[in-house]
Amino acid sequence: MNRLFKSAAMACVAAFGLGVAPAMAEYPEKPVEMVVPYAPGGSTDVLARKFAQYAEKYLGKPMVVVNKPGAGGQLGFTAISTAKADGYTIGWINSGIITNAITRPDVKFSVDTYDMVANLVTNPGVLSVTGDSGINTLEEFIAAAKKEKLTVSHEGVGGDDFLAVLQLEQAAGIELNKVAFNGDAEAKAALLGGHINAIEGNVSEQVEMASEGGLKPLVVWSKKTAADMPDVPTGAALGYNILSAASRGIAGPKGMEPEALEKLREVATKVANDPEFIEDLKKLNMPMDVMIGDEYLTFMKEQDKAYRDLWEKNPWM
Amino acid sequence: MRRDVIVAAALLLLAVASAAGVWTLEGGARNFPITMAGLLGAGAVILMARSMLGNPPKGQAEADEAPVAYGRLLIVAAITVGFVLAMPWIGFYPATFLYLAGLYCWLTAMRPVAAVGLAVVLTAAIYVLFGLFLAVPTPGGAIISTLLG
Amino acid sequence: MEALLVAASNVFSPEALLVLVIGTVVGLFVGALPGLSSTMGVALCIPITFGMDPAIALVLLGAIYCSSVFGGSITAILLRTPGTDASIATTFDGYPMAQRGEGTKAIGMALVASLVGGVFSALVLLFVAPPLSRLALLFGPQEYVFLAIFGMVSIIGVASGQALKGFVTAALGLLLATIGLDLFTGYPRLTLGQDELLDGLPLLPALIGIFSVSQALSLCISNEGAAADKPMLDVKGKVLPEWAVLRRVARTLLRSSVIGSIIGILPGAGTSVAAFISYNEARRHSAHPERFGKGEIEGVAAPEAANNAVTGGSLVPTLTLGIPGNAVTAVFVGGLTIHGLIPGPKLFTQYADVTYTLILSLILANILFALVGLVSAPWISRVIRVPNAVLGPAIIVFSVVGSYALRNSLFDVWLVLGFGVVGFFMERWRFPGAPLVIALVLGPILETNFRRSMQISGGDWTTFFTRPFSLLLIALIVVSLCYPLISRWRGGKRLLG
Repeated sequence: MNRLFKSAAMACVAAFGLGVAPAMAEYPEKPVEMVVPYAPGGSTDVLARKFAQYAEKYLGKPMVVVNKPGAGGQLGFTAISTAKADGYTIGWINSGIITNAITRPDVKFSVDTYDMVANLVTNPGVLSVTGDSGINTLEEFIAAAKKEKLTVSHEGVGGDDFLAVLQLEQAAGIELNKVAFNGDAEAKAALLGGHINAIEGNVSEQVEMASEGGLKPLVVWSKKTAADMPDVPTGAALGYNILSAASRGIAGPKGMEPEALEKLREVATKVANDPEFIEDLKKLNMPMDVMIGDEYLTFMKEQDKAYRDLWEKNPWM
Repeated sequence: MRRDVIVAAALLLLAVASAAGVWTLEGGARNFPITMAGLLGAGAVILMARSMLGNPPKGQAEADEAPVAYGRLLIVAAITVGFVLAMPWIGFYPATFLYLAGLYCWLTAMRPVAAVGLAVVLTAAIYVLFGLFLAVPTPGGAIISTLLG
Repeated sequence: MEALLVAASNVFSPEALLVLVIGTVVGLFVGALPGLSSTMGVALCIPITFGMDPAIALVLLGAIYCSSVFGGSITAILLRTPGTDASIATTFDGYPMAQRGEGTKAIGMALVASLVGGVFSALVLLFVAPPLSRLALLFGPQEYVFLAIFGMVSIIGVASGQALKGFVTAALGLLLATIGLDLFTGYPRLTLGQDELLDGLPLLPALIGIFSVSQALSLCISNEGAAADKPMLDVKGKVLPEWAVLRRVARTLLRSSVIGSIIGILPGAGTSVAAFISYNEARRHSAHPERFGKGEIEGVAAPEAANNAVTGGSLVPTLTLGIPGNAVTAVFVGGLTIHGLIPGPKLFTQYADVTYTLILSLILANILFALVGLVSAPWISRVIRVPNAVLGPAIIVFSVVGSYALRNSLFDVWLVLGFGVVGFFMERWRFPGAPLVIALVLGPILETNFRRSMQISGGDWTTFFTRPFSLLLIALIVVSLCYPLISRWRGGKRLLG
């Protein structure tokens, strides 16, 4: 009777297109859900869908992208960290899991609530002025900022651009007029229209305009020079030890099945080494920066420490 | 126009509550909401005054409104709430079928067989359009997936 | 020129034409169904384009974009359930026309207006995009403040005879628009502890609730069990407007197309604002402003021409500068880059053939949805004969699945139902819903740009009154505000209550 009911229910469910999990087998037995904490069409979403397209080949089961936008990513971060740790729910995280955990201690996520799979992309921060501003180096910018108050855009208090500007102010002993914009498009329009003096953003958003001469990037906040902007000096080269980047990686909830975690890391490694995937990311202007497993965790812990130190000295909220 | 007085009073209350809600924030963050709460409050007070003074603009008498079948509204609303509550348990598509079939049997003059038939057709159409064609996610069914282990 | 020929051969290839037809049909559905916005339609189709030739992929996205804006108007006219905020203004005169049995005619007008607006803006994009893109840069935060005020004034003005209630609902909308994390300080405001509200009160659930669900509730309880109870509405008649009507609305069509194209070019200004400003301007210039809101065909023509003109306009800064004009074109940028086309001046030089393919396909998509509309309007408008009790529950189901799909959250579904009940009583008690929804669009633009202006100017108020474009917008606002008074003074009809 029970079996009859089960098969009837199963048929019913199949008719309605819901997933059916068969009995124990090797991971993965069913599609893996990949949470994107942002809306469809955004850069994380595009990256996730590209990744999913390649991952299916190595995973043997599809990766299904599920968008959970909201609260600047916090809803998605929470969904990933509180998901069942069976390896069937993973998702995309970034430095938001660190900064939000610092400013809002009540959130249900932090560096310690995830098992890191891999970091895929790191898009370094960059400070730019217009091509016709007459400012050509960071030193000239700082000198100008000491004479008059310059206006710099960022994309919201507590974000990685905002924190980079904050660190620059501290290191250079200047005060900037920090104005928030909704995304890089509005900020770029305001800069080109002469309404503000400089923008703090990420390399991939500015590389095209910089190559046209509309923008003049002054400094890249990374350890190595950015591949897309080989002529722009790093902060370290100019004596400012500031690191800022939008990194995007994959993680799952803490305590995932070891077998599943191992498989996911293996899949990420294979995708990251797939020549076609590398070619696609190049087209998308997404600088690859592959860190698997513990290497990624170390990277996130370092960032966590840097931001916590900054918060100690200079709480931004 | 007594009803407008009540609505205006509720809006005034909302304005005051919102203003109180942002009062402790620092200046930049609270100025705009407090200004808007002020505008809403002012509008509500004027609306209240106008209604109480009994000087409604022409063509606005309450008499020209169709009477509301509050009983029916309440039942439809309750069934709809039940529909949304049921979705996470039995899944979106089964819930949709039950919802449509139930409302059609009750609201329309169709024979029950026809009403259920229409519900099946519509549910299937929604599944094809949203589930297959546009591939948008719908709430899953917790009970059904646990039953199947 | 050579690029244009290559583009033409691209567009008229069998593959492109097939994709164009598919995109148009998908777009019409996406636009017509509550909860599925143009943004979402384009976003959902991007993964499908992964394997396609870049030119073909753009044809698909362009076709979906154009036809989804028109698709929203069909349900706005027939059922008073606009599929997107772009079609709210269309309900004002389209729905009364449908109630009179002139649904076919209203769709015909919407179709012609959309075609005119869409083609006009595509031609703007084709011929004058690079110089016009400067406009997007001339508008600084100060100008956006006045643009938002201009939009609000137009909307409150639209609620004729209900100015006070329109003002109250607009103020309520502006207050609700402040919900969420404050961009400038990072503090949450009025979120009641709900994380789902940190990004602000989402627009689409409010829109779907106030228009679609409230209307569905009305239909459910309207006590018309069978089709036979409904007055037999004449849904026949010609789809296309007569020549005389077209001549009468020609000026409105042109004016609205210009307004739509300009507002489209300004990043972040919004399609619905273009529709409302055009509607208000059409009424202001009309010989019979008192007919507006009661089923005046010009009231359908104005917003429809404007909202479709936004499509081409919004692509101007997207393609020339890489600065998307709105959420849909932001998704477009993702679609472009995935095919290795980085928006910027190069799109008009190095990759001109691909860009011209997109523009030609926009024009073709406009013609195509007009044809589809022409053929199907007499049939679609029969939906009005479907018994209310059948339509009502179906609309609620569509609203629920659409609102859940926005961000996979039941919270949004509850919001939709809540706004549905609120909207139901607003409608009964004559509080107009449009100002509330549009205030949710304009509130954040108004506040963030105001604070940005003050911050950039270092707290100096005169920054608002010393810039040429600011002054121009102030003049427009004053004219728009004073016009009803002037016309009353001249013995015209009373417009404001």
